[in-house]
Amino acid sequence: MSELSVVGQRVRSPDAYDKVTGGKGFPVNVRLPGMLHGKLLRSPYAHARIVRIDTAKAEKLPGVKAVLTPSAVPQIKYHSVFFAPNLDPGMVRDMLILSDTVRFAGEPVAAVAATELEIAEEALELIDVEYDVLPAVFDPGEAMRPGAPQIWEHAPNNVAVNLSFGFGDVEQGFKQADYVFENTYQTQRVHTCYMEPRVCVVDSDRQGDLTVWSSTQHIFGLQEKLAFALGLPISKVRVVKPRYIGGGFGGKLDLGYIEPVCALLSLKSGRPVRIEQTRYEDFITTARHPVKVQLRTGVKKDGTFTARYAKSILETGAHATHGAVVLPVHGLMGFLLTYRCPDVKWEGCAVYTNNMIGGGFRGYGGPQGAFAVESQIDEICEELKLDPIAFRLKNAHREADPHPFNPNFTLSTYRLDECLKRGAQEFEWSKRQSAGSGSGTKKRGIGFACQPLWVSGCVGFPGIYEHSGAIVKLNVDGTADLSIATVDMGCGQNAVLSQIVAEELGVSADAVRIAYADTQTVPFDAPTHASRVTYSAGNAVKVAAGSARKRLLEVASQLFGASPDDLEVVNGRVRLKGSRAKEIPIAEVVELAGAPALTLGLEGNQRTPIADKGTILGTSSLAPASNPSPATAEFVEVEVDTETGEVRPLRALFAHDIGRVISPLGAEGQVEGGFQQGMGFALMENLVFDSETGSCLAGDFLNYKIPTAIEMPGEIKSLFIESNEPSGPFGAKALAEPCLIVPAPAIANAIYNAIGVRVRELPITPEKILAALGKL
Amino acid sequence: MHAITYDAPRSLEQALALLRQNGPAARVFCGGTDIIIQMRAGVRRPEHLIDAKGIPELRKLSFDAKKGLCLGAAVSCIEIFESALMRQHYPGLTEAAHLIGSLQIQARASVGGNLCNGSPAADSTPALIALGAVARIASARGERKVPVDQFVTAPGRTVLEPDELLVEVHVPAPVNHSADAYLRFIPRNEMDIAVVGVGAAVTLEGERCVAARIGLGAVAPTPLLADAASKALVGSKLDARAIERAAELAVSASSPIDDMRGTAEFRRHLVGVLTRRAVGLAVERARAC
Ligand SMILES: Cc1cc2nc3c(=O)[nH]c(=O)nc-3n(C[C@H](O)[C@H](O)[C@H](O)COP(=O)(O)OP(=O)(O)OC[C@H]3O[C@@H](n4cnc5c(N)ncnc54)[C@H](O)[C@@H]3O)c2cc1C
Repeated sequence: MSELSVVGQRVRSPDAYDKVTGGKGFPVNVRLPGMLHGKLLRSPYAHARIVRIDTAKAEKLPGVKAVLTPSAVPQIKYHSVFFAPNLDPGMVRDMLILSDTVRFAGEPVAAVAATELEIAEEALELIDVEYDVLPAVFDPGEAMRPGAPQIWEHAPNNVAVNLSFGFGDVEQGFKQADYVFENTYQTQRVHTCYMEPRVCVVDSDRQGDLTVWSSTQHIFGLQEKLAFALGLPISKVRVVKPRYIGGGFGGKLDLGYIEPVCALLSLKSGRPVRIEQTRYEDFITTARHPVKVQLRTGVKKDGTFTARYAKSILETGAHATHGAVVLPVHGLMGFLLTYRCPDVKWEGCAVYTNNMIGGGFRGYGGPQGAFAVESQIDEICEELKLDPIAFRLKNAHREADPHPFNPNFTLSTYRLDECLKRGAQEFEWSKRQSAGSGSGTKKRGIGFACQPLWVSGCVGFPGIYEHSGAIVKLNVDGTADLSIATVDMGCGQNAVLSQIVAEELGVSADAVRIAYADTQTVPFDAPTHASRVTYSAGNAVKVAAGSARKRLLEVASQLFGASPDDLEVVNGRVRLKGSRAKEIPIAEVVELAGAPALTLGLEGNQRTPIADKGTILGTSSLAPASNPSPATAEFVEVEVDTETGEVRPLRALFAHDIGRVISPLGAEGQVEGGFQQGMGFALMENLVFDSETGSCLAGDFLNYKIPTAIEMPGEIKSLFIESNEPSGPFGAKALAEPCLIVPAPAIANAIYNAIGVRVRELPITPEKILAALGKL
Repeated sequence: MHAITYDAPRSLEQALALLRQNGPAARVFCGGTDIIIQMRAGVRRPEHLIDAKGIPELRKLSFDAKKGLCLGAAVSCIEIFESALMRQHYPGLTEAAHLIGSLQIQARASVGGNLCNGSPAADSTPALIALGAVARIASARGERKVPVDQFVTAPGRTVLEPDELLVEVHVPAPVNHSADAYLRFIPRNEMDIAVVGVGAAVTLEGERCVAARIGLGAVAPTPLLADAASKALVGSKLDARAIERAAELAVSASSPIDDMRGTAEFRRHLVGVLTRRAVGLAVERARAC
């Protein structure tokens, strides 16, 4: 590959200045003239039928402009997940904007819009709701038992989705095993903890056309789902792309209650309506699904897998939504395809309960799978005295193997082996002591886990959108505008895409500007999710930039009197390849291309040098060719206080094959943020609900513990093994999710190595550690 | 929504007069890091707020080698741990102040507010109890003194009458070879409420312990003095056995509950661990000075 001048550089994020000076581009800062403030009335009961709602008093309160109850809402059942088509048969359509039955504590039953937020809050207190309280069930195990309260008519035993995948014959495989291991692992409910709340403003005009501003990961998904739920053609709904949002992590990947409610309140009042969720509301809006994974694994003496079986019970909460997709992703990417094994089977179900709805969350079923699989491999290695790294190398897929998910592809770049070997070397894995061998009350341990297989987008997955498009337009000052639907949710998508465009055009990164956009003005893009943007949207912007450059060179060729093929762009200037004799700035070419055909001179009209007039631009809309797999290994050292049960991660090292690193600063940020979220999942985060009433007990940051800066280990190293993926933009693959998938098992394994006891249920709290040590 | 009045008196007399006028509807506050949150949550609904930060007596931090420490109720936690005298003479109390919230919180939060809020989990209270601190309380009717270990009467309740305010806490002067320590357990290192907190202070004469006090937080309806545990140390050489015995007695003195932060069993276990560690640390310090 030729030398790169922008890709791989540590460039400043294009939004940095804006964000540190107030972040005007966050949707939470949108205000419109005449705007009303909406509020949702939420059910105190986890399961109830609404007998009657009396809004008369609320409607009379001065300042109240619109009140909404289920009877005034289209009763169209929809699924809320952005990336799957409305009518996809794999999805469960069990959502209503407002319904006469509530199925979790906090489900909205009515809404108001008023001139002031305080008036809206007061109005809620004036709404009188009569509930017929129904029996509720909060535990998925209980929910599946005969006689449990039935939450949905369409789901006997409260099973929303039932799936099974496999190949070979597992029973046969188990017969060939020297040893069979059986263990059960349980993960908890955790929240994405984005900083910017879910918030939207919806405005309507006299024709009933809607404009939506929302803190969302996907403008086209929001448009499609909102239009469907409201029974409108999508042309009536325009979603404005946020400049950036204050985090999402998968938690803003579905239609919430606020957008359709604001739309209806706006249509009713004729004014723009804004709803900003409180932190408590955010906590009960989206969470990672708790999953119980039973693993049965057959191995030979030397550690070769002969059979693998898993059964997963995923709790989806009151509605199926993401549960219907998290379940298969968890089964396939979290278990079935991770390692080579001739006989494998996975069965899983998503179970309804009267808890909050599960949502998208970075890793999307992967972390629950990896915690089970990678913990159990450690247990197997301990029992059979095998080296955990050699064990994985023995069972892992190899570069150039067929892609385990999609046989049409190969693992054209796949350096898991290098991640393991170089990571182990740099971390000094060989110095690891045997489990629990330290002395003193504080014991140290080293652990390791990997995520062998993951995605760079959703090519090959049924029922998931996967294409991107972009417009690259050159300006007379030599800059380029990139129009694209991709939302930057804080991971640096804007920086990465600008860098790819800049590299392809031959300009500096800061010469590329991300344009204002909405669903009317830019081509479709799938959401910012699934570790896909750098790879998928990256390919689209590269093609658009390439076609703009092609046009630029065609135009410039008229100035050089040379074939476009003999020209190149370097540092924003066009020249004959390899020659510095004549260089024309892009700005000049663009200006001449756009200048009037004639100028009036002293000697009469003169032709400007370029005959072929027009704006120089390039467009694209395409689906990526493949879905190459990144590979991830993580090493971590912890210290466990055996008297208090406290765990402190001391240092961590990630080794990633993510293909070419486009933005090193962004990549390191992803890794560090991934560790922080993964560590919270491993050690402390837990969205706890009252087991009697189903109300949330951890709806603020005092009671919901996330690691602060102080808990972070002093050292987190990112080792990037830069394979050069042929199908990726400048050789790039993906990074975002795996670095959050591996920390929990790596930390669990390190804790085992420190103290010699195994905790199979997250989070691994001090209490669980003391109990495992027999001290409680 | 309800309206409140706000006063910022410049003298103790003014403050006491305002308190007398407004009675139970009024509340004195210092940093506001408890009261404002409680008002937002609707837990407390005062109609009159009296800002104590402008009252000179409440802002005083003075130390005298003979008379000891006078710590004004409104002195902020930052002022405490930035004071070299505090760090030198009362390292345990200083640690406790430095543990409250984060730096931003410490810039406003006061030890007086921590005490008057009456939380069983207040961090600085066990440290004050260990030091034998006494609260000076004033009202328009006069003044009285209450030992800190008797100040909190139930969760969120104290001995203060509606017309009274806390002026300062007085801590006896440290004698030679005495020192204090405070340790707490929380699931993370900052921004959290204690699962257990233990303050300890010891005085040595040669090898022997001649005075000791252990204060416990978050393990009973109020912060408390672990009396028997303290007495078990006195007369001992503070060897591992004596400290273990004190730890066991501290565990018996506690009556924790199960809640989201931890089960009663876990808390009892931690009382033992932290008592051992806090006493050990205090002894180490006392031997060094
Ligand atoms: C983010 C955060 C983290 C926190 N972390 C901790 C922690 O780690 N440990 C901990 O112990 N606490 C913690 N707290 C609670 C709080 O910060 C402390 O209790 C603090 O010491 C209170 O001091 P203040 O001056 O702000 O009290 P204020 O809010 O001003 O007052 C507290 C109460 O005492 C009364 N009061 C105050 N002064 C007087 C007076 N002179 N006379 C009579 N009554 C008075 C008030 O009426 C009120 O009821 C935290 C709070 C927050 C918001």
